Amino acid sequence: MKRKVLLLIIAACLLGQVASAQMYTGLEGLLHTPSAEMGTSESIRVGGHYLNRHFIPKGYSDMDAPVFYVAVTPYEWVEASYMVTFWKESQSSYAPDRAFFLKVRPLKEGKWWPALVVGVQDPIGSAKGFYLTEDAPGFYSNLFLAATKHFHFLAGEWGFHLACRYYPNKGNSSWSGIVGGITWRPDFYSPLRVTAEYYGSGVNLGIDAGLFGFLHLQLILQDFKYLSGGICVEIK
Amino acid sequence: MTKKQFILCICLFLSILGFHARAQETDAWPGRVEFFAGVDVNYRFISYTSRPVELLLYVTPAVKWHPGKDWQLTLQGAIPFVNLYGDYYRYPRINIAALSKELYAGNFSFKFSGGLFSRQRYGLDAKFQWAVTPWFALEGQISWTGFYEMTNRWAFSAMDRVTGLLSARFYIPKYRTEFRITGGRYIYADYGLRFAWMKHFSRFISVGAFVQTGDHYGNLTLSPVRLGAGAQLIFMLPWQGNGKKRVSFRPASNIRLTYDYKSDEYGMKMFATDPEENERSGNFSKSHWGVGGR
Repeated sequence: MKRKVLLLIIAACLLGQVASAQMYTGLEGLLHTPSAEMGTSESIRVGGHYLNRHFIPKGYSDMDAPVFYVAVTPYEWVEASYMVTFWKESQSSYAPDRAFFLKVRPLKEGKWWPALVVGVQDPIGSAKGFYLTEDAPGFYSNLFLAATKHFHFLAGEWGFHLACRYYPNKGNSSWSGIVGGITWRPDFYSPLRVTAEYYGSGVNLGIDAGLFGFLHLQLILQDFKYLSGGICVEIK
Repeated sequence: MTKKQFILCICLFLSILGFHARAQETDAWPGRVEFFAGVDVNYRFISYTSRPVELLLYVTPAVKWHPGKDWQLTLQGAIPFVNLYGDYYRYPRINIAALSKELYAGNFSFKFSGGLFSRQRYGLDAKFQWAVTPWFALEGQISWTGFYEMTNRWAFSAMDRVTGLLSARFYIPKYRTEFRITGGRYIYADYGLRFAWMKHFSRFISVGAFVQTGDHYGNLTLSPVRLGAGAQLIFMLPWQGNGKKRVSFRPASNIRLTYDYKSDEYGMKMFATDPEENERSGNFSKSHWGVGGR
């Protein structure tokens, strides 16, 4: 039995070709903070995360919530995502909430300069049509500018990510400002990624793994205490 | 939903998530009969309940017979197998039963159809395409239809509604990208205009987004603006079988999903005359303008 499990793991590693890593929104990113990495051009990602209540925005309920998304990278310079959060009203009652995410990369990473992206998350706050205002923001509403630069040393690819974001929702204002993180992809298995990030009010650690060329798993440890995780299928 | 139905849903979902195979064009040579089936997925979100998503899933078995000379006879049924919407939707029904003929003359393509169409319309329909240049085409559709119901009761209204659409399509081959402006009169006698963008991936998939406005589009109690937007996803299914067999059994050629931010069930809707109609393949089997199903 042990041998079968070992063989399965080895096969998964050999077949692993997914070198991207998604945030819980379906867009490329770190764990909680955005990055300037982009998904594979002409790909679609379908997945979901189970998020700890400390991970998701304030404003609706103080309970863990599952999210599901469909994200697309039609060109190498743009990504968009549609996500539904099932906010828990109580132990047996849910409120589905839709949100949209968009990320555009005006500058591709070069030898001497980082990639730059601008993005918006959940811009439509309410049916009344408020956009990124403090009156009626969406729960995830924020604007961001992010930069990423990769270097190759110490048996892997190191990514350095910096972002500046603005949350109009006052409950999440601690996430506004400068955030960022470091990622490492080992040479021996590039679909694996280890991440450490500062998200504005604490530190997250995470691990991503691509399996079989289309499956993607992510595990997040927030503030060394709270676990979240997700699974995603990438279709190219 | 029972456990069996849930497992069936998961299996269908996984079967959609393509593994590496090539989508094939169907071959419509004379005498060929194609049996195929797809799934019609409907869902709605409901807040403040223990069941936040309600599903209505139909399996849609269909048959196409190609007698030759670009004639086609199509029959498609819709059998509900997961129904959380209520009793009204529990009946199996005929979705499409239509006879159609395609004609080609130079850069012009025509398709004439008659019979029962989707969205419970019956009558006559004509479509045309003029491929002006490799990057620009004009398309049109004019229909003369009435309403029918063949579920728990049989009812037919008079065939007294004339509808029509006109589209200008622009295609950029290098980026496999298309822009389309469509305007006209829709099946509930409303008028509308839509601007759409679509990116055709080199394999299987097309994605798109649109902005649209119409004189009865949207719900004024929710928003005073009759302007909406949405997204589209078309997934061409592999495993289309051997196109040289006289009788073939296969899954439907595609799965098509349209998301409308306004969730308007009646604004700017048009019926389909073919069970496999989609924006990637187009309406004319021999026209290769744009991506043309490739």
